[in-house]
Amino acid sequence: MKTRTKWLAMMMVMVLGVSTLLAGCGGKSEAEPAADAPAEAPAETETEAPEAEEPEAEAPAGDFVAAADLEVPAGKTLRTLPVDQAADKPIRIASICVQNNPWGAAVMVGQNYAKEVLADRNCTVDVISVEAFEAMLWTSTIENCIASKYDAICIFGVSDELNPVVDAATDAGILVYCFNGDLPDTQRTAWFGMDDYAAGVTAGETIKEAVADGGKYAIITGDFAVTGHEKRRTGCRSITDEVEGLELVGEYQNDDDANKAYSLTTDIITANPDLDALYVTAGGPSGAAQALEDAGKADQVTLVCHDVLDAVADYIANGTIAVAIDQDPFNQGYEPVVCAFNKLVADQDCEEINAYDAVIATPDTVKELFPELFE
Amino acid sequence: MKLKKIVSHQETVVVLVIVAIAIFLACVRPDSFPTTLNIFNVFRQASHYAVLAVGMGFVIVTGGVDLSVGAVIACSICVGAYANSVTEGGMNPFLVLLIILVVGLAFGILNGVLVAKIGLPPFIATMGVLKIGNGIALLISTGSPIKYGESWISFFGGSYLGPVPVSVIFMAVVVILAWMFGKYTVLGRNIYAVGCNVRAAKLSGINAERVTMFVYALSGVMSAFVGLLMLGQLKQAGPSYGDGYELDAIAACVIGGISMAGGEGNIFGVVLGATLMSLLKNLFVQVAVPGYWQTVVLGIVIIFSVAIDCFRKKREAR
Repeated sequence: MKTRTKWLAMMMVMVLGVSTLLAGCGGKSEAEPAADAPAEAPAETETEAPEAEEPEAEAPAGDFVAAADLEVPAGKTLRTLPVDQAADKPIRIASICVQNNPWGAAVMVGQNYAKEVLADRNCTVDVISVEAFEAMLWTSTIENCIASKYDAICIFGVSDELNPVVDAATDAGILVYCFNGDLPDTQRTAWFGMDDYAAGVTAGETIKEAVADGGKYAIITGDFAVTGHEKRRTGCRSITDEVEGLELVGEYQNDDDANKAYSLTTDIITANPDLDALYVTAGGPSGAAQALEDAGKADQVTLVCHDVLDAVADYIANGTIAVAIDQDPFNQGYEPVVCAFNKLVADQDCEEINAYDAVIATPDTVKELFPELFE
Repeated sequence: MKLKKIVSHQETVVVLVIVAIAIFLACVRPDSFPTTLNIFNVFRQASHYAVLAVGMGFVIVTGGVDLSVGAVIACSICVGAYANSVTEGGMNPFLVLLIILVVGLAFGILNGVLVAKIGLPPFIATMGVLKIGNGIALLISTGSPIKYGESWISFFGGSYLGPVPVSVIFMAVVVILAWMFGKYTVLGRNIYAVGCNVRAAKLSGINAERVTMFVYALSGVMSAFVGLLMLGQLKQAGPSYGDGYELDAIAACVIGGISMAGGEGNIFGVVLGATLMSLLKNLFVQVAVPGYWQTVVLGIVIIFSVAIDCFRKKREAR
């Protein structure tokens, strides 16, 4: 018993020690500016030039890489450039997304690039990860950001359930920018992303073309509770339901998991050996593609999915995935942050609705459109 | 009287449920369900749950629970695949295999230390390790799957011997060895003794701490093996692999007759539990159960399977 108590005490001391060290290291750069960054910063930053004497305002105007000289990552295009102006007062922007899947990782590349670009413009960008697309988790994270008095928050508009917390943020004077999913009934400043319903329609039309004489198809969706996934699914069905002789054999949820997509695809093609098409609305298409290859059905089944990422690039190139609809995750991570910065520093407005054109990658075009994935 | 005796074992009830579902599916989908390919698909999918549930089963028998298994799956193969990717020309597959198993073992030992040595409640200790494992997997992979490709270790998860997936053979070997271990070895019997009454076990000279450490370490290694099966199947290692598998493994154990109170249960039962879970998922596809209903049905079956056992025990107690 004594030994156990000793162990416990030692552990607690260690944990407290490590926590104190971490807090000590991180506190200077993040916590202190937070206390000084007023919630109503957006409108006031330009008129409060005298406060530039404060120790935190350490980046002098002009000491940054000009937008025209920015080194853009291979294969990426910047939809918006940051203004060539450093903030008079330190600015803090939070950019929140789910990072534990390939799409989220691609968004994070854009978020981190924005962070890097804005660092010498006296702007701190905190890239924050939420574990899952669950509204309550997102609400809590946004509440924490409000409490931390960020100047702007960029979020994935997971679902309308976030409306109250987004309005609470805007009421507190924080600018909110949405990407991927939109929350049009809130006071958010702008939205960036692809129209999911239209993307679903594109998928439906691809299936309609591939199975012109009628046949069977199935849908594997990420999550029935995620608005974006549902828009894609219903968008696809708005086309396929109208096609005579095209039979939907089932709709299944894979939680964005490649392994579950593999198992579901195996079951679907076993139950329906004459399956003609498969639509994966969200994460995990690599699992579906691998299952088709393993079953020798890659030539028979038209596989349609979203996002051209490293995990699926080879499957598109070899024809197992017939069509992949890309939604530019890099810019979804990057552009809202830069637009928020431009608004805060130069009062520069962006369009309220920034709809990205879907980039359609096929086996013939993928290497040309996404050369960086094949280097 | 005979029927009463037959259904007095939970395993028998689960077998009957499996048979009933199989007969139903064979009638409804005679063209696609009772085929060799489909039957082995069901067992291949069950193999992941079953191997995981073997480790989880021993943990539950001691009265504990291991919530970290899903995270250990992801973390172990992410570390292995990452090591391979940063080694020029790729790493020797044997070393990759070794890394995967060592990472699984390390997480298992960590769980064991936290529970047995420090005395943390298993739920809390393994939940903490789950978060650590998830975090490390994300750090290593930066959120995207790490490509591994094929090597001889893919044989476990992605190959067939005739019509039989190797993962099914692997499951059979693991389960038989685990059953023999639980039944015929001293350590195996000590696991049940610790689960029945830890105080009595200690008084009779059993080193309960060591037994507890062992079961968590075993669970970690089993998780790593499941990771290996997934790596072989998908040729990639992603940080989200194994997400939610802890609940499926617990469900497989409970359905298979392992008591959450500890000290009771047959390791063979976990195969039945795992098979029932994957058969249900197969059923959803075979008869096109609407998406919203699928999880409802799974929940009902889990409750139903365990409720039967509870009623039986209550009646016996009277």
